Amino acid sequence: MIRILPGVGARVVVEDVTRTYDGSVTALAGVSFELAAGTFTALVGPSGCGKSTLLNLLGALDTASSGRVVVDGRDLARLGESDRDEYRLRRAGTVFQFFNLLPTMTAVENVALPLLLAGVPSGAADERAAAALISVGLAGKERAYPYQLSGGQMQRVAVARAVINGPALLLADEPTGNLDSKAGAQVLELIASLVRERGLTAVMATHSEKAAAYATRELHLLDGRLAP
Amino acid sequence: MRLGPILAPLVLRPARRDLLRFALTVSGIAVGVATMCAIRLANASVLSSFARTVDFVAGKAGLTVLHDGPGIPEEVLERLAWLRAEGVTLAPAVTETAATGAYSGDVVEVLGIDPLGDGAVREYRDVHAAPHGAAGIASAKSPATRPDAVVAFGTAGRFFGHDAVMVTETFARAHRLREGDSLPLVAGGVERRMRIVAVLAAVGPARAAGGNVVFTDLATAQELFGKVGRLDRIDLVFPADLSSPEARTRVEEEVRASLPPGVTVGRPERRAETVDRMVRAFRVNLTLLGLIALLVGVYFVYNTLSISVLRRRPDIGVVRALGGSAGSVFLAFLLEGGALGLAGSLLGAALGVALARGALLAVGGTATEYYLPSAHPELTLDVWVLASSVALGTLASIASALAPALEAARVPPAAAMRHGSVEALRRRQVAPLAAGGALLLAGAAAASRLGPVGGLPVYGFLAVFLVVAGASLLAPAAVLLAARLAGRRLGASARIARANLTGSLSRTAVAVAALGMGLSMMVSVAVMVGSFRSTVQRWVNDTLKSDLFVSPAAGKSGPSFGRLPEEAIRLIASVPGVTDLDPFLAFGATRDGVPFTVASGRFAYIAERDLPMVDGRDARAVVRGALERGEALVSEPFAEKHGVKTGDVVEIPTARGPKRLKVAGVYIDYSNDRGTVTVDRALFRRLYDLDGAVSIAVALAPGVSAEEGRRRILEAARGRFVLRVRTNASLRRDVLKIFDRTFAITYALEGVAIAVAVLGVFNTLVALVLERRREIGLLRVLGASAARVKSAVRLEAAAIGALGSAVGLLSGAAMSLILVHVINRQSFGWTIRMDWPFRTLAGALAAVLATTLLASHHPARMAAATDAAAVLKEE
Repeated sequence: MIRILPGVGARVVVEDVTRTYDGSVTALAGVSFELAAGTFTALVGPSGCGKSTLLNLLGALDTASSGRVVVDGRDLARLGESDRDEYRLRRAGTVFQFFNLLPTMTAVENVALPLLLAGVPSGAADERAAAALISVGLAGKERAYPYQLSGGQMQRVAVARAVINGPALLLADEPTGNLDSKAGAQVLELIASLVRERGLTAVMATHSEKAAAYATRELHLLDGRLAP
Repeated sequence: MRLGPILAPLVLRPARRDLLRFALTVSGIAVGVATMCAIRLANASVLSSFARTVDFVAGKAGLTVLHDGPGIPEEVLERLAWLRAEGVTLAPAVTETAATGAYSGDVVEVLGIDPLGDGAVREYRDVHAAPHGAAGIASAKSPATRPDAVVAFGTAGRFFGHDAVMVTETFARAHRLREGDSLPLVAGGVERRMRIVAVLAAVGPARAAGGNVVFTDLATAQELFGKVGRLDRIDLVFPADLSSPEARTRVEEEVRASLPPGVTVGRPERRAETVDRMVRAFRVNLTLLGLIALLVGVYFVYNTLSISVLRRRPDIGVVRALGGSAGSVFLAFLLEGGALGLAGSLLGAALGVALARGALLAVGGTATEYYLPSAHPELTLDVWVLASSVALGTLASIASALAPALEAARVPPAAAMRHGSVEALRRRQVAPLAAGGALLLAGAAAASRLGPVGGLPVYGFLAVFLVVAGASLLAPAAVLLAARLAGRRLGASARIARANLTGSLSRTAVAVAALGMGLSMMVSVAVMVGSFRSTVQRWVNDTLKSDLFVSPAAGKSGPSFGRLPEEAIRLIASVPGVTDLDPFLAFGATRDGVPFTVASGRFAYIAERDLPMVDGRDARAVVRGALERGEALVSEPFAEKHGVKTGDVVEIPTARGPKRLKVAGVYIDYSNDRGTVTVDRALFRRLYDLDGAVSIAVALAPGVSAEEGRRRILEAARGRFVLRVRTNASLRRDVLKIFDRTFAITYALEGVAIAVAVLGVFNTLVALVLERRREIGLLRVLGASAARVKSAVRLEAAAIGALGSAVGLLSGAAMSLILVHVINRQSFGWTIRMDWPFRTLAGALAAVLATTLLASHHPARMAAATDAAAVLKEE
């Protein structure tokens, strides 16, 4: 199992956040909420309700048009370019619906990549990555390329990659959207266990009530607004 | 099979999205086609300039009697007198080269004619003549004029003066001359002032040599050039009742039977064929280099289309699922390749015309230096050359589009194959491709052992192409091997770069191969030229042992022409400080239609100085033995071309029939590639009624410096002869200057090949960045900084550059061996010692690597500017 330090989850504050595109399309309108450290929150809503937009803001991939997104006391809008890179490298990990593994790298190389980006020597990075793959039930698949893995296996590689640098915040955008129910359940259980045992904060965007049930809290979004 | 509906989604729309890449591809083809087109236009211009000159001079001649030796004895006219009874007109002429000033004059052709009869063969028109050509001397076009009549108003009378010349309108305009002006004419080291008695309009022979022709009376020309009693040609004009091919053949046979040895008869255009043979090897080698430049450009099409097919796989799958046939998909991509090729070729042809002038300066300059001193090549836009260059570029592009088009046709309906599995398929092909590459290299080794075909190193060219093809097939294996050798202990950027390199093998290997091809051309030519240069330099040091070299002044011309009279030789011999001299005499002949030179030198003089022999024997003993036994020495090119070795017997044409001489030895000679048979001067003068010298090597007494000796000779000759006197040092410098000028065009071609190859690397990197936007976005999500992403792209470019350089170096080394030991040897007959210009190669490699890194600048910036959130939203 990946060694986990308790109490390292991020505390998230979203204050009256709005995001508009081209001055006319409003993806988010006046969204506010707080997430305590070590919680598993599901953002639930239909397609186009703003779930992915909100995750992008939490992952410092995008910037709010107005309002604040504060993670562990840091306003993400005020971060410079290199601080945002650093944030994504060490503080936030992301899992995607379509896995987004690098097709030209093996499973262990995909998992090791964030460690290398963080400056860990390659030998140590490969060892830790291999161990991480074992811990997510993928022993023997270290040298497999993504095209040689099933959807569930790819998503578990993605999860291992997302947490390998010990982030405080795990963001998952429809992580089971491309998986069958069994594989999906395995991935959701993996995320839930990481929250329990590691104490990290997880935010999952989903349109599935079944998937949302794995979370400890639900926030419902509709047309860019939080439902009361 | 309906092609129309699928063109938009598969070809046109994607092309609009990728305008930069397609523009680059079209540019790459354009540069390759332009290079080849410019060289072919230059070659065609040189040949057609001479062919036109032959045509203009030949006029209405049905047959021409020519010499295969030092000249046609005048008595041949008597032997052919019977032809007049059949109504055939005989027009004797002397053709020679002169200069219009000793040291700065232009080179002109001089045509010495019989003014009473030449009008039957060639058309002349005085610029002041009435429109229907009744003035001047007899016009061939004037039906009322009999060939032996003179229709003139005073010109003919003046024309018979010993100093009378006619110049062309073109020449007169260029030199601001008029009728009545004087014109200096330098021939055989003697300068005379001639009198212009007429200016001729640009018709007939006045159009030869670009208008740089001077006409004079036959006897005047014979005296000017020391050819008293000799002619260069006798043109035969047939009457109407002898116009049938059978009649002409009968006459030709009867004429041939009545000619003495050393004199031949044939169609006038045969002369052009002889010159064509002379320059053919040079032309073909240059064209080969141009073809390689085209090949590098054509790689672009393959590269671009392969990437297109890969990127459009899902679209192809959808089209197939909707009912589009595999055949229509195949045709769509083939059409795309053809369109790219056509666009690039048309642009290339236009560019080629612009470059042709520069190419002609280089090619024409060399042709003048080595083969045709009086040639004045003018650029002619040969439509066939342009059209065939466009066709070749287009067809080559279509051929290179075949493989990607086939691959596209094989994409199954609703293709959902993941990227990795396509590249995995590629990786499985690496081993068979490498095996194929090795086989081609073995084929190259076998082909290079075969002999020439028709005097051309056809198998040598094949070997070069097999090396290029074999190295290209080995490129994917080289990429994988390099990735493996890099090991696992790599940082993030290096690991990303390596994964990209091996993960996109179908693209990166092609870029490596293209760069390798361009570089191999550069390496092979650099090694060949470098080896040749150092060999020539060594030869010059070994053979140019005399203190001074004297030849007739030849105006602005590089090479000398004409023959100094015996009197000049006696004068130089009498100059204080001159201890010995070797007068060199030579004329052109043919053997089985192949031109060669018959030459003479003083073997006693040569025996005192070294003459490098091919077999390494002591030249002194060989030359003395040849002198004693009346044997000949042959040059290496002669021995190679005619399969002759020491101890064999060679024949040289003389007026009394062929003379058979034993070969005493084969000597190394880089002064010309025609090949030379050299005999002792005394023997030469017995065989030919010829004296004087085309050049004289002079030995000075110890204590007399070269400059002092030069000054004394020029002083002694002042007022009598105009001489070009070069010291040993200045002649050595001139030889190497000519060499460098000759190969200037090859350096330009090397640059073109490299430029096109680096453009290919740029094209590939841009395509790869566009294709990997999702992965680049993902790297940013994972925390890779923009700088890290840029660094990964640059590392990938550096790896492509390094691998391409390695492939290029190795294949270039193999190609240079073929160039030196096979192509050069079979084309020109020269032995060249390999000399590896390590410093030049290192410099070139560094430049290529630097340029490749520079080419990565824009793709790296593109990658760093990728909007991660936007690309990851795309499915």
